[in-house]
Amino acid sequence: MTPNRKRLLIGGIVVVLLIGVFYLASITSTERENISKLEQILQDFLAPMQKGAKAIAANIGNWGAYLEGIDNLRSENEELRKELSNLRLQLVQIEEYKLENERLSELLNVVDDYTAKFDYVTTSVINREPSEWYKQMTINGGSKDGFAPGMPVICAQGLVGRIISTSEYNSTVLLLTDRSGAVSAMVQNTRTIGVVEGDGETDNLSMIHVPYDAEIENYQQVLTSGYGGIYPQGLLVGYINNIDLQSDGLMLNIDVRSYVDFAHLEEVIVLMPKNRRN
Amino acid sequence: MINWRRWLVLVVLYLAAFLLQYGVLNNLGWGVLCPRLLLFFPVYAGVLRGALPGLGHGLFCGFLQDLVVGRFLGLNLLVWGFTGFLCGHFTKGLFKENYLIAVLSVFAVHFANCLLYALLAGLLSGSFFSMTFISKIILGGALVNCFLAPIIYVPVYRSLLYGWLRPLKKQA
Repeated sequence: MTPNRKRLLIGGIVVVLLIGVFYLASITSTERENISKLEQILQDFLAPMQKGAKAIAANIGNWGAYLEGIDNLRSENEELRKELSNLRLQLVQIEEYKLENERLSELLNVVDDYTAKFDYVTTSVINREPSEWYKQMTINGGSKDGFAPGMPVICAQGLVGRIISTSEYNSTVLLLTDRSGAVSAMVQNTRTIGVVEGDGETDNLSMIHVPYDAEIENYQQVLTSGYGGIYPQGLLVGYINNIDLQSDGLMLNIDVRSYVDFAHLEEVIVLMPKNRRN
Repeated sequence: MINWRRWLVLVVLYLAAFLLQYGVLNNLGWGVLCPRLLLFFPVYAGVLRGALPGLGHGLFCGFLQDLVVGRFLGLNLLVWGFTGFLCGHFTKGLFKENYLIAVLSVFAVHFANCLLYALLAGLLSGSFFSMTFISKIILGGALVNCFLAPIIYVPVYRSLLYGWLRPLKKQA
């Protein structure tokens, strides 16, 4: 074979391989029902070490916090007391709403399909930041525990994200703050529908596709709308922090803040459809 | 003849770096300041042994990352293989005893890796990372990895010349 032909052949093989790899990369993006056996084995193999490392990091963090001094704790305590008194007032109001809701639901014969449809499975976070490029985390529990891609993940402060892949003993959760983690949402008071998405780089969220004349205000709660089929309706996403009019004057730029501290998540709850578990 | 001792050392080094990276360091919450231990394999293979070993180590390291944290299967393989090859190609005639070569190579490969990955991931997903975010990852990683570069380079260099990592000489 002449050198020119050899070079051409090698070039051809490289091009074919490049196209193959690009094709593979494009079909394996974000959500995969089944990850390969090799990926499963590696991820399960790493899980015990990750748990150990997380425990060490938590201990180091505790010592750091202790050394930072009690002053911070005092001021934080003061803030929390104020917040608590505000929340107590809100709680009374919410209780009122709840009773009213129960009465109305009885009238309409509506069943609370939330608890009827899902099991709440609490699990721990193994790894909060496996990759610097993407907002995802690894949680304890995988396909053996009944977890599957698409299941919503929440915590006491609100929506965290959804499971995108599972191995036998672990699952990867795509956080709400990731660029691919968008969720259909609505403002609680006005039922204004929009899409809440993260920028993938910070923990900030924004609500888009909301028309300029929507009657919304700061500090109103944002909940999942139930559209899209992934998240059930009514999960807390966050609150409206700021509203701006877009430059074209047709849509609003809404800055949404989540109550969830994504950087310090320890335990989360997986919403598992009841029919799936049985 | 296969140099089994060299292969065994390489396997142990890979295993240690991989477990330390993805089992421990990535879980300590250091964010962009987390060292990328696997980066040193293609860089030093490229610098000390040439473009093809750089390519080989790059492909393997990229594949490992794809399996553990990759969102697009094959993308890290492509990026790391390519930058490992380039590293070997551009450091061909350089004086290898200078530690600065190690530091600069690590920085250049890390820089090229991040840029290329961000670009290709943006093309595949349809939305690109902001330059601020990419710069943060590049600078954070560069700071830590360039600090580690000479510390790791010395034993690797010595081992390649006189120690267990020394490849067998081809018989004439």
